[in-house]
Amino acid sequence: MLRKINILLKLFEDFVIKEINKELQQEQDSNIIHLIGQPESRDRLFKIILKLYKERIYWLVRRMLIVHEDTDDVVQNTFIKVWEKLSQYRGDAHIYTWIYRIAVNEALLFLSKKKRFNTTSSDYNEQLLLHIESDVYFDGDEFQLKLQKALLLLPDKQRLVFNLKYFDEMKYKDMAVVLDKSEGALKANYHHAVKKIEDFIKTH
Amino acid sequence: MNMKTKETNFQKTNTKVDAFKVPATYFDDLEQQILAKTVNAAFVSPSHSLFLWSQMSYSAVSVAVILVAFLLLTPGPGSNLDGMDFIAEELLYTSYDDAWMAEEIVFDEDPEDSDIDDHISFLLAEGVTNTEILEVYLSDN
Repeated sequence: MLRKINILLKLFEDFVIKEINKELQQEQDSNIIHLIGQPESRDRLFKIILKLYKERIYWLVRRMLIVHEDTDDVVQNTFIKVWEKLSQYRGDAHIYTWIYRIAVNEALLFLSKKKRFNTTSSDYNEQLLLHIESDVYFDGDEFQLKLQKALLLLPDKQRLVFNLKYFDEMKYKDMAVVLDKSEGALKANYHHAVKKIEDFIKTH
Repeated sequence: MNMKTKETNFQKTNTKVDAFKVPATYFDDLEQQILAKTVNAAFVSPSHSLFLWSQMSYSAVSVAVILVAFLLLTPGPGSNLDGMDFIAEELLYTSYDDAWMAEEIVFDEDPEDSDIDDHISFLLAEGVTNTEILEVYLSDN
């Protein structure tokens, strides 16, 4: 009986998540701004945002920071900032690009702080590489490990462009808003990253 | 150049499958932690409120016990020391050496109102070196 109730509750929860997902997708930015203006709606909106984007933001940050614990800190900071700044959201960009932008800034800031404590930025990337090799939360095959090694040789912003395009399949148009770069510059960055990764894979 | 037609060898492989993993219940825990720090941060449940009151009462009792102990331990009427002086004297004699005491003699007073020359002469007579006097003076000014 209890098991049946649990299954029903789970089904109901899934239904509610799907409904709020639909609701948010259908919301016009003007409506979102209207919701933000009211404290009770703002709480509800934040919960929806958190439910919808927590995983995407996590993976975006994890691919940049590699270490799960560091990622956890940065993702929490990102959403706390989203919460604090939600009232300032003016609808200039779609809400998800706005959240991505906060997450990207937080991740890059974290990396620059970490690298300041190392002699060179490559020292820190070598540490990350060693971490991947012994990480219990990494179970990629030999090729995936090689790809990560190649990615860690890229400059942070180029790696970010590659990750957003390759793993997140983000459109250049949206990426231009998130990273505040022209679409042409992003395409060139992605192209350079791909060439470097190919060269690395051929020679290693 | 059309990037879509230039699919490279590594892009044909299955590298998009995420090789990074997370603990089993991680995303649920993450959501709860973030909500606790944001939406729920201002909300205090009745049980938590009771807990806070008990903590406050506990703190109040602790302060009261310290005050009673303080009054019982301080010297009574007829002594030259009042409570605060007694504690201050105890701290000075148990925590610091004579050189530190010498610093206190000079700089407890406002240098503007005191005769610094007299104090320096006094300290030199007490065996405090020029360097020590200078260090103390510079650190206070």
